[in-house]
Amino acid sequence: MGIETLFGKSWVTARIDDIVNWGRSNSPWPYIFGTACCAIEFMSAASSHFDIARFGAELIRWSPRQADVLIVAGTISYKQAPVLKRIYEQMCEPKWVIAVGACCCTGGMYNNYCTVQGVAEIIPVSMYVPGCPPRAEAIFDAIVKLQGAIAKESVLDRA
Amino acid sequence: MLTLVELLNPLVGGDVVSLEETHGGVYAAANPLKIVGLLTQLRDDARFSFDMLVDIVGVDASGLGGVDRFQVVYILASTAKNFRLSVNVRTSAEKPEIPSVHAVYAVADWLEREVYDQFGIVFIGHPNLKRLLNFKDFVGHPLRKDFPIDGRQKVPESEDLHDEMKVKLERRGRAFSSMRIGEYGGEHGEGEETGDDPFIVNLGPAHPIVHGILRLLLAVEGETIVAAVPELGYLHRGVEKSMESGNYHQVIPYTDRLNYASPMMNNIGYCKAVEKMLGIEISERDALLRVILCELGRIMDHLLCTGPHLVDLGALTPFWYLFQVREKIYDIMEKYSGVRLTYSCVRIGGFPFPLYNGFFDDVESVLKDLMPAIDDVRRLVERNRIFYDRCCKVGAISSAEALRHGFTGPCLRATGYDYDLRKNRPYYSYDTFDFSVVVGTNGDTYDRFFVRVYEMIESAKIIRQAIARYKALSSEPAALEAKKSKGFKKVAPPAGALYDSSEVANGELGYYIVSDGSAKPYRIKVRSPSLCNYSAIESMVEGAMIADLVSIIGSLNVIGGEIDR
Repeated sequence: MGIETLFGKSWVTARIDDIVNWGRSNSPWPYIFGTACCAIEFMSAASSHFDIARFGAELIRWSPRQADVLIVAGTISYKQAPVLKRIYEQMCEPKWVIAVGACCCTGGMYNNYCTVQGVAEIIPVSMYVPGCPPRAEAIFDAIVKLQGAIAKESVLDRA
Repeated sequence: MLTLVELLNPLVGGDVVSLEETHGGVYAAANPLKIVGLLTQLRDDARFSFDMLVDIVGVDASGLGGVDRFQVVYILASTAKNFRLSVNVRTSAEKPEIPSVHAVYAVADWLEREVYDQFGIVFIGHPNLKRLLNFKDFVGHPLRKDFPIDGRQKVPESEDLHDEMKVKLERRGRAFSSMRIGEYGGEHGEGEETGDDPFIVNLGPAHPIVHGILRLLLAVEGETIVAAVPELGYLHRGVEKSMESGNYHQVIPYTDRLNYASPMMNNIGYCKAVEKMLGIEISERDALLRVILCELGRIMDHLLCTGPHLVDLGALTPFWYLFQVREKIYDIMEKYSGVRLTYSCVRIGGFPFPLYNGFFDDVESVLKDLMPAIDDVRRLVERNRIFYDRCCKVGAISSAEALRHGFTGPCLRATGYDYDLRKNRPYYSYDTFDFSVVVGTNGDTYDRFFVRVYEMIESAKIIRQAIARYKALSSEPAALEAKKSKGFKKVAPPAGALYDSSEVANGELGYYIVSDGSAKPYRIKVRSPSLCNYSAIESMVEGAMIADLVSIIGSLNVIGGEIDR
């Protein structure tokens, strides 16, 4: 049995921030906006060998309305940009964005006429993951760091 | 038997202006105004029977000299006679117009749209000459030499595609009613709702089954698709423009990211093309290693096609089984090249580094794990009622129709058509290996799935034979031989053009390379198998259910980096 047996019928007091952030940071449900190679690497992260479930982020949502973290994995072209923006706007607060891969962070090797030079041009980014593509561990590192950042937030910030 | 040049010689002076044989290929120049008649003749004449249009390449030849600024190259293949022919036509900068050949080869519809998009060459008589990759209000034509590489243009919002849908529905005698537009199809318009008109639904590009890059506007009646309008270009990242800005070696990383499911096959295809242009013969050892890497790549790619295809159909378990094997191939390639996915592990002339100790043991252990994984998956799906119902007779296409659409690879072979470049136009002594070409019968989703599954088993056979041959060679390390070859110095192929292709996991991956004699490639066109395999999507999905569409797209294995480039 777990920790609940120790308490019995008692009260626990805590700061609202701590309680809420405890919940938010330990189950960041991701929405994968995967367009290119990084999405293939994300598949590795999600499958059994690396297992993203260890970080509470295994419940991949295919609807932005149910997701907390937007993981942008892959090159974003200008044609794709309005779609990404719309997806971001459809997500409910609180929401965070992880930019996975060089293309997504800065445009990467595609410094040309059709590639957005970093998704920060379109949407606010909480975590950048470098790599082309980043390893699964790098994506996990971003999730863990994001969890740390969420734990420090105040619920009033996003009121 | 007469050679192609001998057969074509009588045409010279008529529709064909000139004819030459270089780099082992036949290159003809033709009169642009006669191109439709010429291609029709080449297709229908039983002596030629050029049944497939492989690619249409645009070239801005302003830096190459000559009177006319633009070139358009039609690359033709005769699968029956095993001929290849490139037909080159030229058109001026003032009036870049060429008659459209969409009636001769169905795949020309999209290929011409791409050339129009990238070069501004107008194809007279094309039914729907819109941009294919860039968005519709884009100003300029990116692959023209005077277009700046960083000429970025913001897109305010996605196109609604209603214009194309209207035409399609009217052609079927159906009305397009703007009242019957679903939530994501656009704004609600004016007009009376009749109730009989099809309902318009948007699918993608942010939908799990379209892998983030494809978009289809569907007109549906209940769940049956009446008409479909596909849109491409969501992952258009200007690869061909970027390739022109570096030297020949610097192109290799871009090829990695074309079909990112099996990067080494793209590396090898590119290096093979440049080597052919330079006249370099790689050593037998390197050729064997390339065969091993190619077949590992084919296994990797097929694992990534079949696994997620089943996930799209709702079967998650097989994906885990298959991905474990893929993960082991990642480990091998990481040990060898230092990277998990984008290897760039091939160089023009050979390989950059030697194999690590134990490479072959690792490969053997992957092959050992592969068979049980395939058997597990086969046991799960082969006679599974749900899988059977969702795949059998779904998205079926005949061999003739597939050839008209330029299908290659597993998608063509699933129709029962035995065509594999490894056997028909062998390279790296593929013809000396003992393996079978897997063919299907019905050309449906079920066949496409199982052609891929059995191809993995054949690839494993090839790898085992190649390893045995490699071990039988003398013990000089591969990398030393590569460094000795001239490919490692400055690469500057002689001026000219060349088309070379290899059989990758999705079909025929080709590179049309134009060199002006300098160390920078003048123009590289990637012949994308995914683009052609996807070009029949409209006819495949019309009349099918939305759920069938999921199954069809999964089985075509459309890879964004390759289709949009």
